[in-house]
Amino acid sequence: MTVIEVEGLRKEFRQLRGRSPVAVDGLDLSVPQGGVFGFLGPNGSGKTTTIRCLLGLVRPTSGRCRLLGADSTAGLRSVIRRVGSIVEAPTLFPGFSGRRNLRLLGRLDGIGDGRVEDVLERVGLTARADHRVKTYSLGMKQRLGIAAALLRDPEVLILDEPANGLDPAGIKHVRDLLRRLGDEGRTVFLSSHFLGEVEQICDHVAILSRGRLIASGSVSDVLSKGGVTSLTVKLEDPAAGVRALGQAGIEASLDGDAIRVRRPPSDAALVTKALADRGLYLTELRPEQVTLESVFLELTGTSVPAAGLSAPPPPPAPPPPRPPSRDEG
Amino acid sequence: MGALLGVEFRRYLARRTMRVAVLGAITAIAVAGLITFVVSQRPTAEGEAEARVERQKAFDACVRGDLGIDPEDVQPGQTIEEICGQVVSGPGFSAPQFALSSLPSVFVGTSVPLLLLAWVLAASFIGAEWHAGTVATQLTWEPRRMRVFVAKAVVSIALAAVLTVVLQAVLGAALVPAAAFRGSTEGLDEAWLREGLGVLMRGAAISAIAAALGYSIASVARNTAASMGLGFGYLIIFEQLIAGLRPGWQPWLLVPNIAVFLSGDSNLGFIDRSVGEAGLLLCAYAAGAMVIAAGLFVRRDVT
Repeated sequence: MTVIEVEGLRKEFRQLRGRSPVAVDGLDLSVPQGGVFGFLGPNGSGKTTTIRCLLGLVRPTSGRCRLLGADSTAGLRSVIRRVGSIVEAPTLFPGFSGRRNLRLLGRLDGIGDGRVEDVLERVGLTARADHRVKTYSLGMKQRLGIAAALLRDPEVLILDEPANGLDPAGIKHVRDLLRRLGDEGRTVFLSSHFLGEVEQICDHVAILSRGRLIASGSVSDVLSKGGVTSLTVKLEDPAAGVRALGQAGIEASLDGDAIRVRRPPSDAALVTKALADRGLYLTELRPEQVTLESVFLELTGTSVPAAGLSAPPPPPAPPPPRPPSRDEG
Repeated sequence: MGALLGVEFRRYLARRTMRVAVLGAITAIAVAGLITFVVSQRPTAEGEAEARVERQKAFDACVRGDLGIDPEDVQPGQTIEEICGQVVSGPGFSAPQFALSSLPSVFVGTSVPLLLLAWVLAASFIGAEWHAGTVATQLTWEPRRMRVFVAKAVVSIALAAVLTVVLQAVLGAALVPAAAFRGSTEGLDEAWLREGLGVLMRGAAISAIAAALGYSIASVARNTAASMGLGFGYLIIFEQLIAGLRPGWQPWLLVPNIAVFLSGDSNLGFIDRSVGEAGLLLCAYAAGAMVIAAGLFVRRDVT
């Protein structure tokens, strides 16, 4: 069964002067029931606009969105109780406590205080539930937003960047929670910048660029769309290795103390032979792993800073090796 | 709809702005009651005699035209003596005694700050929600936008009217000690009660209309400050300009109609309109603003 269907969605934000920017341009998308679906794209690619269209907050210029079979512009009312969502950033009343915010939302649907306590517990916010939301950190606001989205015990969760502002422990907590929700048979539709996280928890992904869908499918399908990557080769004299490979007609470059060879893993034997023929023996050869990030960058043709994409922050680099002193021989 | 109204009602009452405003109003009322109690004095026979002499002197000066009223300018059907008689019976020519019989006039005066308060509270109720982005969150819970708009409007308007009645009642109660112990409680008859209740109800209605206008403008602008700036700028500057440049438009302006409706007196000299007509016109303006705001609330994208 398809939970989310988007057909030919186009959204222009009309302006009085100049050209109206097109946020989404003929998007087709289909999200199956159950599991975690990653919705990826650089900043400005139309992810949030698509989510707003799905939730009836923004009217499509053309095309249509269907959520649990209901049209988002006219029939949302019949299914909204089965949907939990965060759009862009969780927005609750800053002057009210987290608990009061959730209770007020719950009253709209006749949800009791017991359920409020459950979701607070589930996102780890019980201890700060009586504090005003404006005193919360960004991560706590995100968790409160997730709690609000879970309040209805929804079949479908639409979460726009739920890991924004979370610390590594918070990211792991949310990742485990979303994975669990997906495993429970709910559909989690997740837009995220954290490609590593998405790769770990998503069953399916869709990649958006400039308002258009450029890849969609299971994570393994999308990873397989990543083209040739490279091989990393180490040997005692990398500079000589680069020269040798060049003489053999193999494109290679120095990458620190290693050589990066722009050939697929299947060409490993060729590389080994080219080096051995010239008396150079490698100490290490490994294929560069295809990641969602590398596929994403390849497909969208963006660089990390320009796209505003990021993986969780890497561990600090080790200090550079100290040059041997004369005393050390 | 009941749940939505209940939630909006709780939200309105729990707002800090609301609590601060009510606390401020009650403090101001308490101070006013205390000052009135201290200032109010029952006249002695000697004081009355002195006041009578002062009144007669002032009356004579007025008839001579020394108080700024030119006998030549008196309208047909009136005499300078009648006008001067009204002038010297006002404050400043009698002992500073607070009479509870003047409470309806007090209510007319306090209705003005209360209508401004109603405007501000209603505008900030919806404006703060747009500012915080909670409208979007709420619409993901209740996608029927008209219901959301109506629930917020009903709560803003109804609570503005109730708040006006409650604060006026508190003010009346705060002035009772001054009248009872250091002033006058004479003249509290059925006509007084009718007049007082009339002013109270009309004040509540004006507050409701102000709330509707403030709410509508803030909803369209999605901003509290815009509603307040536009509203007060219009009332204080624009209407005065129009009144000066186009006197014929006065019957259609807000301020003269508010004055007629609030005072319950169609002979104020501003406009030729009955109290009921003034009230209906103000209601029509508020309804028009609400219809435009509701249409835009339903149609516009929430980004």
